[in-house]
Amino acid sequence: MDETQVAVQRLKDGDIGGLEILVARYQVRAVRTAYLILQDEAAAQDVVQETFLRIYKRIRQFDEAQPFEPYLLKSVFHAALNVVRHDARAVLLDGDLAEVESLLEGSDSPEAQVEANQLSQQILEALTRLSPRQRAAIVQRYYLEMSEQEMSISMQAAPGTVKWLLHAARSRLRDLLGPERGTL
Amino acid sequence: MKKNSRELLDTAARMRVPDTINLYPRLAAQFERKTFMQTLRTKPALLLLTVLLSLAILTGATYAAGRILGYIPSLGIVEETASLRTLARPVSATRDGITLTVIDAVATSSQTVVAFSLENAPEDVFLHESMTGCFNQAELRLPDGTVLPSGEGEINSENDGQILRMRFVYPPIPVDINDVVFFLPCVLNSSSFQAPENWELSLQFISASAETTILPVTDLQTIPSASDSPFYLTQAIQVGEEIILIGAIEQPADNSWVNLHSIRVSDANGVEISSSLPTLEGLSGYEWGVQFQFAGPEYPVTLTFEGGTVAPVPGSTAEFTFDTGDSPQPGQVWTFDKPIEIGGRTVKLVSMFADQNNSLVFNFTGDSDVVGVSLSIQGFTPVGGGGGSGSTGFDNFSVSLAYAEMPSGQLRIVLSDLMIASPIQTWTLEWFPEDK
Repeated sequence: MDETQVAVQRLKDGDIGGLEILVARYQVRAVRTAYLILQDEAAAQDVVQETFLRIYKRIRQFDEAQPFEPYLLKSVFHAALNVVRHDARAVLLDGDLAEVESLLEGSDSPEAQVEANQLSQQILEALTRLSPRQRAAIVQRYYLEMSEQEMSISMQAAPGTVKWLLHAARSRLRDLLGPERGTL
Repeated sequence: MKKNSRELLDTAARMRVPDTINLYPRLAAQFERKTFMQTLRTKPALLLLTVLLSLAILTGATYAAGRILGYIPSLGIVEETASLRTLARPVSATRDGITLTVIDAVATSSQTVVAFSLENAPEDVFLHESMTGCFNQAELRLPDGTVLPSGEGEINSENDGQILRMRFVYPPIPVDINDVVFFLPCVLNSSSFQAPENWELSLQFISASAETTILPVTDLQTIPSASDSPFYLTQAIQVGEEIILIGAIEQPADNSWVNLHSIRVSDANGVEISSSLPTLEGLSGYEWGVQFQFAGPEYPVTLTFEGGTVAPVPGSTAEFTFDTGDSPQPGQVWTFDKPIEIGGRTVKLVSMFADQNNSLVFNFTGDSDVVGVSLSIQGFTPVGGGGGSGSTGFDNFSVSLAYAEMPSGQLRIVLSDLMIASPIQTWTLEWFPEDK
């Protein structure tokens, strides 16, 4: 058993130390996932904290043969989406990974490396100006690397809606990031 | 080294969420708080004081969040302000037999909402699962050339896609501008741009008059019906003698979801009263609404929700191989009678269909509680896909996978995440209006 499986087993045995290991190992990506949707550091930490608590309460139902990280991150994603559910009046997105990856084409160059912080800032600002549901779609597709089919099931949205929402979010990001990043 | 999309997003998020965060002390404090709650249960006086303090805080928060909301049919809930304007009249245009109509619109100080429809487009230009068509969105153009892009929105189809009704939210229109152009680049998801493009309709906004239908909306304190219930109340809309209660569904924090089948309303005596599920603009798949006579029942009324949870069977996987031949053709159908064991169940692959858009559509049958399954073809990366069944569980479902080029030859097809609907569950929620 690897460290995560041992931690899960400890938690199932009632040893809270197992939770500390899981938190230490996965909290950063979990909070980043929530942050990308919520755009609020404190709210993101709250969501992840609550998710860990839920997992703790339901750990006996967790199949340790399954990888823990995708389970945690999808749980965090849904919890963050619940937080913004009052804004959830819309659609998601289309777009294939390659198209978004092309945004990063410039990151190979020394100039782009110098601009890395600026690019990150641009992306954060652009995400802030997307709707929560559009941000959620970006996170699912490009951060959690879910397929559109998985998104469709997860979001209870028709595949067409998912595809269209992705397209909408990507178009909006492209507009916000400006022509120099227009290859998004 | 080149970064991929995930790394780029991770780098961006790192600016706000450093590697050094540590949630565990806060989590540990949560466990200590649990001890405090246990203390409360043994000290009723302290519990009463805590409840009173909580109510005082909640009441203050409710007043602080006070705002005047109204519901406009076909447009949804908007914030009512003195500068609220509506569309002077519906506007329509017909090209190549396709009719675009801007049905209604409202401009407030915070947003503009436009409802429009597309009718009579040929079947092949409308939404289908393996879409590769035009997705450019409608925009509003102001006289000075400013373009207002669409934000969130919804698309609903009627008559098998012959009518598309859409509602989109835009940024606010300046108060001194009443004439704008509604510009639709293309018919949504039109194949190869074969439908007419670049539609323009002139919209005129006028001040909302007394005749404008704006139904009063009340924000309700979000109240969970029970600790294990996913159903919440959020708002109430007064519609003449009737009331519409709106609420949300808190979805489980994992890969499962709660599916609502029906809502019943009963009065304080437990007698069921007549109710209906209204069609409301702007509600997401995570929200619900129910309408009934406001004056009639003895309060509190009880809402009874019937639904179920759809969840994947952990670790459910299966695979099989299939040879399409060297050159599968659009329209080609392969029929099977192939039982597949997955997740302790048996699903049956009935047929596979190659469509015009490099998509493969797999049709399955299964038990009545089987909702669907994830599918992939080893070595081939799809560019899209979909599928469906009734989310209450039907005895058949389909999965489609779209590719840049049609996969061919010997294919290894992998099934995973068999989705099963739980037996029907019920949850209840009580509501007592403030003025009753």
